[in-house]
Amino acid sequence: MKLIAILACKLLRFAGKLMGKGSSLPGRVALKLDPNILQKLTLPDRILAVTGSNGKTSTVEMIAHVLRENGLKVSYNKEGSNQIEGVTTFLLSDCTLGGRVRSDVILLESDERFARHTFRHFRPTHYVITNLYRDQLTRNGHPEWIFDILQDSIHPGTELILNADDPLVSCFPMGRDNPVVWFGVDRLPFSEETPSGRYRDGAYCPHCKGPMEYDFCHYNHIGSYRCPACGHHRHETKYAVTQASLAEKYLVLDGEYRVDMSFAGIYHMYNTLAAYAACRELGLEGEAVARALSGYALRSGRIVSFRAGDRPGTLLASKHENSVSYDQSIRVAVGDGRDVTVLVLVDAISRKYFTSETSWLWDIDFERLSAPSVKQIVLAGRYCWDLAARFDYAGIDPERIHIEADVGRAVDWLGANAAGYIYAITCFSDKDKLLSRVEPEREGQA
Amino acid sequence: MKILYLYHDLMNLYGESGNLRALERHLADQGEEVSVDRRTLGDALCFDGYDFLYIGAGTERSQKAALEHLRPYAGALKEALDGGMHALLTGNAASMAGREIVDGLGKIWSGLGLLDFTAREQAGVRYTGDAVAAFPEIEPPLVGFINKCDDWTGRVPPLFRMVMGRGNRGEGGDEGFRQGTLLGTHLIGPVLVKNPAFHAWLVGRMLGREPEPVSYPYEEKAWKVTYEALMARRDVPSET
Repeated sequence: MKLIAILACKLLRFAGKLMGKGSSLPGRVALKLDPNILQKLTLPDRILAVTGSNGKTSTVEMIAHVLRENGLKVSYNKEGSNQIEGVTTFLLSDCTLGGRVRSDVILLESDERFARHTFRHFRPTHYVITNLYRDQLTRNGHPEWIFDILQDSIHPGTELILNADDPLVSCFPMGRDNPVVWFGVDRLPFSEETPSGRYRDGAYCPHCKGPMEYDFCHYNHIGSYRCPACGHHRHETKYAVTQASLAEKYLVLDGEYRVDMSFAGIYHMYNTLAAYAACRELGLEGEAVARALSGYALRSGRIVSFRAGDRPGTLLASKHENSVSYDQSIRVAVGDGRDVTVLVLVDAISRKYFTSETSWLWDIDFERLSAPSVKQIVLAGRYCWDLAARFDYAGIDPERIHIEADVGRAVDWLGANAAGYIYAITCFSDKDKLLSRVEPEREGQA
Repeated sequence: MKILYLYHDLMNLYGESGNLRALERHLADQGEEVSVDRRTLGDALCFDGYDFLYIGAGTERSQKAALEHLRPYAGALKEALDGGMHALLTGNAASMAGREIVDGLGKIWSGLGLLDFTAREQAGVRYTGDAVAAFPEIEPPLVGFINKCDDWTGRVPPLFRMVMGRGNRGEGGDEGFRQGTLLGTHLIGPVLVKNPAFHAWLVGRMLGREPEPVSYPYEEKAWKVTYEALMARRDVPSET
């Protein structure tokens, strides 16, 4: 049955590609033919999974790039098919008819809620957990709920590669004897003394709920923390960003390796660091990893330059239902230094499922947009009135706010009236509504 | 008008702080002088002189920490409520008001004993989704978000009747509780911002009179967009 399942999957994948169909059907059929197919494959000795609320795709893409630059054959679920059917499709597509996976390394971007199911069939040798934030609560409940669910995805023997700066992620090794490697960002010139943002997920220890103290913060609850009550604290890091400049767009890893970034943001620094830590743990030399990471441009249209009329701007693809992601984009817009106009577009809250849920707008630090360099703000899309209600409480002069439900008219308004450089903040679910109405220029630059 | 906002830094799961910001403004628009006191874990509590108490939603573990802190004051809280203090508990803050909470591991946590129900959390089961709730005192139903892992058993005078989404036990049916001036609902987030009609009703109750008509066009348009979107989707199966 193994051979038939593999053959069926390959054929369906081939046919699906011709028709431009998704990647979960071939795997689903293969699993029907042989529910234990994944356990019968001969897998490479390096299987690395990445999970967490934010940065999974960017981190996985960077790891794949570094490994390939260093001559390794890599397969990964680049279509974002991180449920079991999608994983089955991509593994079977990559294996011989005898069931041997051809790649040197398997990379898996794993959905937080599905990792426990995927890893019942095979186990990663290395497991990166980037962070746990308030993300898509309409599906995910809350970060501690996801923390509990992820417990079932961790198996004995897997090496954990964890973000030391996230107090909740740092709880994973408690009560386990898995090998653990920590990565983190040292205190930098732009670190803050106390947690920032509209809410305080770092106010209390995730382990004992005692009040937590911070030496410094990078954003939200990410930083150097300790709990006087139970002793939970930031661990010593094996891999660290030791120096960085947002203005000059570079970071230094482990005090030795300078990496130039096409896009500078603390967020992107964490993804770069996670990718570096993962590649080092897979056996690559620091110099080689840093060389491949240097100048690596983000793909998938996360950062796209455009023109609205003759006015230049950048799209910062963020995630609806994810305040941390929005906060990061707002920091980029406010930190630009030039006069800027900011467009916030919320039209379809999700591209995968329907929801009308807008509570997350109250977790975003829109108050930062009261900075004097932000000359104008445009609120657009179906949920522009929820945005307007939120901005009404943000301490921003109403004269600077323009509300326009229709995306086309919002873009026309920008083309005619925007003051300074334009930053457009929206989600993957909505970005094409913007990009189809402006002149896109190039990706990966800002 | 004196407001007590408990566990502002702990029980603030999803934009709940917006409720207080909006309530403050709407009361001020009625000519009230408003002060908000924030108290949290480690603070001594006193309910004397307050007109309104608010507690928002938290994670299950945060809720237990809040409950442990609040329980010694349950008697004082009941006295304040009997004396006419208004209170709104949203999300799993409402679940603290009952006799007990049984958590996902089966551990029993004594509740505040203000109402006669047991909140039973289920390990690995969670109900998340958009919601529409009818409230008998006003015409427009409420819109919102349910995100909970507990069902209630026991006799509770309900606050809402669910048009869409999960009630106190099971789909639809009764939701939350209303006992005198004490209101509780599983709806989480900025419930008052999202529901200007309910907000106005609550302000009227606090003032003890019909509020002066004040228009909040953004909130009203936002409610309409969401209500219409939800009703259009009501019978369409979820795509997840």
